Amino acid sequence: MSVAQEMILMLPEIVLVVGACFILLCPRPLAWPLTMLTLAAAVGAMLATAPDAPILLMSGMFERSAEVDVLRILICVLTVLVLRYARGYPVSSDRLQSNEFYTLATFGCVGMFLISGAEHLVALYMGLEILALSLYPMIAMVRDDGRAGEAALKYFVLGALASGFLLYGMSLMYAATGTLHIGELAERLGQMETNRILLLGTVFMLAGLAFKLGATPFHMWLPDVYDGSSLPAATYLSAAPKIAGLLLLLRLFGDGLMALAADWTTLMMALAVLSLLLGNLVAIAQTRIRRMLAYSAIAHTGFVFLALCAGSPKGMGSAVFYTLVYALMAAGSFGMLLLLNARTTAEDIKDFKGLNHSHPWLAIMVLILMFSMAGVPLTAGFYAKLYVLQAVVEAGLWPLAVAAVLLTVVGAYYYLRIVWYMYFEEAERPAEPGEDLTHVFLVSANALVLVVIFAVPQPWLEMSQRAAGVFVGGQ
Amino acid sequence: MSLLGLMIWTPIAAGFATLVLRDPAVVRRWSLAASLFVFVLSLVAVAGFDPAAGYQWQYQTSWIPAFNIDYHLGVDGLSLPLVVLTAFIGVLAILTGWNTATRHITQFFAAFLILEGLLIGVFCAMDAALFYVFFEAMLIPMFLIIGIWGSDNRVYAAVKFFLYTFLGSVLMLVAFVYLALQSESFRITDWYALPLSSLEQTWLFLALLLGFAVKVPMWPVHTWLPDAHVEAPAAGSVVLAAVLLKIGGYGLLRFCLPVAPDASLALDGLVIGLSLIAVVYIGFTALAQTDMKKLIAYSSIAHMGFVTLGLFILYRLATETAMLSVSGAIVQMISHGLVSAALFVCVGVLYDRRHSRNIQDYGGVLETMPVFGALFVFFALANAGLPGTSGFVGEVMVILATFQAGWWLAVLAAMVVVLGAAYSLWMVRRVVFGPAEHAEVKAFQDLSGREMLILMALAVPVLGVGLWPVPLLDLIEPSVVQLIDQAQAFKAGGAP
Repeated sequence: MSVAQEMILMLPEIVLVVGACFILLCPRPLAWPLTMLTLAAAVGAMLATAPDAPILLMSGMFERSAEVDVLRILICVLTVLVLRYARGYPVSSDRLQSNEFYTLATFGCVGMFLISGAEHLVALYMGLEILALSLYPMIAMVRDDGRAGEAALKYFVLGALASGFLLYGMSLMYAATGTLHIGELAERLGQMETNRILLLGTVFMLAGLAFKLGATPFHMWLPDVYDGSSLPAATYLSAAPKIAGLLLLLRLFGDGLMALAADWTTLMMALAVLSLLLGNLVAIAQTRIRRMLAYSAIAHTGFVFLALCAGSPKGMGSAVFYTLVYALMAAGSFGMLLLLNARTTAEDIKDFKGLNHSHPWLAIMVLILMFSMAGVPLTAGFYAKLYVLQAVVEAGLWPLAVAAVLLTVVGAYYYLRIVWYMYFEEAERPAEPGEDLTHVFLVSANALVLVVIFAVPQPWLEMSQRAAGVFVGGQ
Repeated sequence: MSLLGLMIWTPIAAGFATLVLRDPAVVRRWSLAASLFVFVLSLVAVAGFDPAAGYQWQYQTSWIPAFNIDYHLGVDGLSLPLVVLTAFIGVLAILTGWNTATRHITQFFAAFLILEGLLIGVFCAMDAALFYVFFEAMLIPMFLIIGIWGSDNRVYAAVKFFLYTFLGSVLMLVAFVYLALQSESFRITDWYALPLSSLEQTWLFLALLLGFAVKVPMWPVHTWLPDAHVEAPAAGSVVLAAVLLKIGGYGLLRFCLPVAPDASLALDGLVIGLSLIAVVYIGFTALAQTDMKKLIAYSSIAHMGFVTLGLFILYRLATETAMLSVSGAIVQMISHGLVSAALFVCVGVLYDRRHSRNIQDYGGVLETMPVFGALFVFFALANAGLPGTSGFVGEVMVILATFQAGWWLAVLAAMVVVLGAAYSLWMVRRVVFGPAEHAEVKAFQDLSGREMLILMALAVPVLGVGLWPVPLLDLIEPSVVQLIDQAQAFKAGGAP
């Protein structure tokens, strides 16, 4: 393939990088429209250059496939959505709507794009670091807020440690197999006997990823980061990077290390059950919404890990679908939180009290989001759980399925609490959500999409299955 | 759209429409019209129903091919009476709640209409995933009904109700997923023919039993019910007692018995034992209540225990007698739906006047409310199984059948009548009869036209089924025969 052809296929990344540079340098009022333009152009470039079949680029460093492009489009849509939500945030008039914020957000997308296409461990690591290095300063950006600084430092230190773990695991893999290319790695592992170096490498890589994704027992940073960082940064962190994290997992474990599945599934089961247990139980004790959402994120990560334990294409498909739905729910929840915080601070769960009385429409939207998180039907969250359960039961792991659903019931409690605060209790002080109608419209659409996915899930399920198929078939 | 689809989605759409209408006066009439429309449709469904022809009014279309889930509706003799009951109670619930809500009035009616649609969906679903969707989705409106418009301790009751039912249903979901993987279909009738080993059946049976036992509710997972009933507004209690509990019994009929016949046979002692505990122990508990709603709630548990007894005793009976007991259990479900609804309406009538549910706050109601007193006594007697009322028919059928399984079982089962008479009559004696001592009671107004309408509407079928149960029995008979065949079509060679 000629260089020109490769460049065309890498166009989405190139557009984002060039756009990010311009966003940094343009006059401030132009930063926001330019960001939207860049993301839209990236989507356009993706659609225009979509290959018919998965294709390897740059000496096999990257892979482009239309199936994964769909997920990358979703990453762009979610990014646009959360950045739009963040514009209503009062503090953001200062640094959080600066050129730097948008540049970092765009570079974050570059990282996520690279992760989604990486076929090489170094490319994968590079994508991950670009994403992480965009997130650290985004969190630290509110310089005069001590808690944001603390959160950023915590995230940075633990993130660096996790990167070290991951890198060390990768180097062990290289030592054992002599390749960094994921496809070749899978091939060679298939022909090798399991040995200690491989196991050690797997454990280090899994631990590194568990750190990055926030799975118990590597989750400690997550609630502090969610709660400490500025709301716009936390919102950005909560949605699209989850999809990238999942793609990373699929690429490494679903594809590269699939031959070692018998060894890592046990570990992953432990991570899954621990995350579900801790996330759901500790979330009950939270009084701040963001901490609650953080523990809920841990529990949801547990569910995704559970899906991967099934070790089947169906399990991977269910993990993709679960993550997509979760990213939508998280974006919606944080979007709602930003709306409620547009004029006053409403960070406590108690601030939801009496919302139905003053703002019945918003209350219904929160109700949809919360029941979707809990996995109750008439919302997409139900299929997400059903799909994972099917994959897990099919793999013969029904005790895990039973444990997961029982912990879901525990989890339902804290989602219900928000609903009952909104509907059953009187407001302690009047809610003052923002009056930005576009924001209200977007949040509502965000929540209602979950109902739409419930009614017409087939295209989404097929999309997830196809996207997962790229990883399985990539060997 | 099919007739059944119309019955499900009309109230749901009408419910959301109320949120737009906003004006309470308009919303009330609109909700009444929507629920009446559904009731008329349910009568149309009965008129066009041929009991001998199995599932009817079917509508099937592929919904989620990836999971083999169909949007598949249909009714047979087991579900149709419950659909009609739901539509009927739906109208009465709207009437009962006419003036109940003082805040969020439009949401009140929206919740009831949506609940009605979902409940009809539960009974019409022929696809297990669809069944589960309706089964669980209905928790949302009920949760809000108890929590928003309930009395003092409503939050506790609402959350307890939700979590209890959710706990039962998620294990049921795992069982459904397992069955669907085995048969590659979520179609309930496909599961009946599915070969399953004894071990598989036992686990599936236990998971399904837990899901439905919570709903019935069976002892010892019944504790949510007294709370939910007491705290819910009168209209909510009516729907809860009349329809929601029946879903448990219906689920046992539809899933447990035919899908896991060997396990049902092996574990029938467990269910019978729990049912008898419910009948006797809960019956005594009811006697000790001072709160009228709590008393009726415990009475519901005892009566539903009687239903589960009638269903699971079938393995100890000859086929003829098994027919009698299962039909009796179904008639008892319908009857209990009508009678318990009526009793909750009666308590609601009193509560509206005195704002108390305590028995000791009343006495001598007959002096000021003669018509109401007569109706209250009538329904209390129906609750005790007085001949000529619907309560008698189901009870006598089940007790007669139980005799064949063992006289001591029948004696224990008959405690439902003895204890039922005791607590029902004791309640009306203290509330309705005697001298009116409280000044508030002396100032009571007799039934309004609306209240009279509700109670009369309930009295007609109670008497109708009691005096002439044949049409109802004819309606359910072919399906019961089929059910007993399926329940005795042992899959793992476990026949006795």
